[in-house]
Amino acid sequence: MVDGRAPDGIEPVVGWRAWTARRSEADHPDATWGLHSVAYVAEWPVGAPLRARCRLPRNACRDIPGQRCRCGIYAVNGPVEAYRYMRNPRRVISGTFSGVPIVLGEVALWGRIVVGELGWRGEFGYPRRLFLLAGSSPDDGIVAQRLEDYRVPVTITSRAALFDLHPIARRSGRPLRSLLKHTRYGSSRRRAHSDPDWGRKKGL
Amino acid sequence: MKIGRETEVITVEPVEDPVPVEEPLLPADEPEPEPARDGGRSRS
Repeated sequence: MVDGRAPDGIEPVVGWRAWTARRSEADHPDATWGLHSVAYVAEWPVGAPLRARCRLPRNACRDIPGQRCRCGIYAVNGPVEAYRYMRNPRRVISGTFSGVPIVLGEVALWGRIVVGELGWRGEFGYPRRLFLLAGSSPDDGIVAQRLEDYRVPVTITSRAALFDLHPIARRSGRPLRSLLKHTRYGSSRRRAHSDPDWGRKKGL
Repeated sequence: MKIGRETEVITVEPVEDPVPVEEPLLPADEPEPEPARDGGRSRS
């Protein structure tokens, strides 16, 4: 109940976003891996929601996300849109993710939510399903295992498989993870590896 | 991240916590399940 009003929904909004995975203490053998936002310095806590903050110093929003501001935890409709965002170096912190594990995935948003035509800005967020892009880290298996600390399903997959199967999962209602696991998928994965223009053809 | 033209503001209060909780550990003195009376044979 917000301000005495009934909520508009009792199920979190689920969208897609991109993260990088980074070790908390790079040289420590028991270092944990955390999800990090790509556009702002924000580590996503394990076992607790990330709460959005307004970064405007003087004109901080009273209600976050504000309608006259751009604050909030962002999510978009699908993995392609999320990946496109992080591929634009003007929008991200480092500008390059070479050698940095890239994670795409579903995120649950709740609390106050600004609804857009292509996505959402939310007050609270927590990852729901994670897809580690194969080959983006030195050891995908270890990174994926460590990301299971978030207690959500973690799948290692190729970008091509994720992008091609997501629309099928959406249309069919079948879980994407199940399709990735059980579909004899290979055509576009091979295409992605053998065709250097695959990304350009996909608009990526 | 572009979310297009913003159309409305809603509030969502999930009935179930979106943050997964760890499976609760069984207490140490949890009683052992009783053996089946038919000696453990399957009912089928």
